[in-house]
Amino acid sequence: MARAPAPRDRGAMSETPPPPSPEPAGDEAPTTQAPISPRRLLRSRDDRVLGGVCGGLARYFNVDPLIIRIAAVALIFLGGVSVIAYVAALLLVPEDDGTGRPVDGKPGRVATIVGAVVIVLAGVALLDGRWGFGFGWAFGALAPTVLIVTILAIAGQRLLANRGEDQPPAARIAGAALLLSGIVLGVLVLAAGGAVATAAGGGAAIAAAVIVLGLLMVGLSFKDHRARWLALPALALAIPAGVVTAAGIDVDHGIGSRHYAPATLADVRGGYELGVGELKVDLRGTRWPREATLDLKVDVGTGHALILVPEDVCVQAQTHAGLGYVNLLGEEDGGADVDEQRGTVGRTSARRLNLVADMGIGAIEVRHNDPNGGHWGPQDHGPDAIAASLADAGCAGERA
Amino acid sequence: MSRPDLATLISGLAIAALGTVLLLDQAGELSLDFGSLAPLVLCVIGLVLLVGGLAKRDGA
Repeated sequence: MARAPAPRDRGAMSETPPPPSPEPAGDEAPTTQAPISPRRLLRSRDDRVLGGVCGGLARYFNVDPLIIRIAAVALIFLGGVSVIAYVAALLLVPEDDGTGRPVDGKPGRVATIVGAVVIVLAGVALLDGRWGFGFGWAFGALAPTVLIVTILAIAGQRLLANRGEDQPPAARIAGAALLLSGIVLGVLVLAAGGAVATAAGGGAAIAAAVIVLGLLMVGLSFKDHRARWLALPALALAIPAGVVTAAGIDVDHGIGSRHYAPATLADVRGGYELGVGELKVDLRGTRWPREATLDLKVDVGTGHALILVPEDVCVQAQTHAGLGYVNLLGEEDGGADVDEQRGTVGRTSARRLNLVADMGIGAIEVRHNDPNGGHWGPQDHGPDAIAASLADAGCAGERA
Repeated sequence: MSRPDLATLISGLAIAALGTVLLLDQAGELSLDFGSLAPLVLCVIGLVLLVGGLAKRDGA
């Protein structure tokens, strides 16, 4: 075994005081004192959730990493800027080697070019406001695709690094990215299948499959700890099935766009149902005698329910939206499990609509004019304008 | 009998519980809405991540 050189063999530097920067001792110590290097932004190796970007930023600014992570998550909802910044940092910011220095190796030039391209494409996509889909199919599909491929490549590289391959060749990274793509695709297919099967009435079978997977994990926990990965398909089935169940979506009621315009009150059905799509019930041309009251029921699983009523009809509505919003003549409320019971009670001579509407995921709207008909605008369909027209019709005053 | 892998065991129990809730809803014994589904799903996912992370930290 080669003997390590004695300190006096290292030259004059062994006699001088050590430089202020944390230079590791070694055979190739500089013969002149190195300038104090400025503090560098590095991705943390020991404080990381994904790529160590937040941990590195926290160390750089000397703050709690949790604050950086919370801010990064919050910024996702402001146009996704933190996602772009994170991907850029993964590509451009070198990794800490554990001693406060960047790791050796030259990911530099290629990573810089790729990072710049990703940033430009993602920036254009974000500036468009619709993730690039407004620039036509070719370019619109390109930007998100490049972003997804880049993220998959980075994830593949991380996967290999976790397995001890620090400098994997491009083919290995591509293989790992392909494997991850397959897993993601499989999860998406399972999720879509679980949702569709539940909406088609197979919710009990999906629930049973989830229970079986859970019990399988319990049984296999005594033999093979890798069985914990069964959680992935189980949750991929269970969560969409739960969302469909909570929303009350039922595709047996049909899919597509339905438009009804009954000529008389006798033509109005007792209830209108739709599984997925847009349901429009236009009562503006319906012959509606004075003092007559119409009871209307609308049930849509996912999509849009639009009820168009004449301006002189008093509306009382009892509505529920699992996830979405309810707009009753300009007064809007949205969120999860939105229950609305409001409207106006008119004079005895007024025409009335009693509406009971249920929406799983989407919107319920009661309007005087069709937003797609070219006559609608926020100014003429605001709550004040509607209240005025309702007052003219004798509807304003009492709230239901 | 060998000791079970706690992460897999607890995750499996949590997922089986979630499936049971879904089944009870299908049977009409429960009425699941978003207000109850969201915390339930978050609890299960959180539990799975927590026990997985603890197992990884302990070297399991």
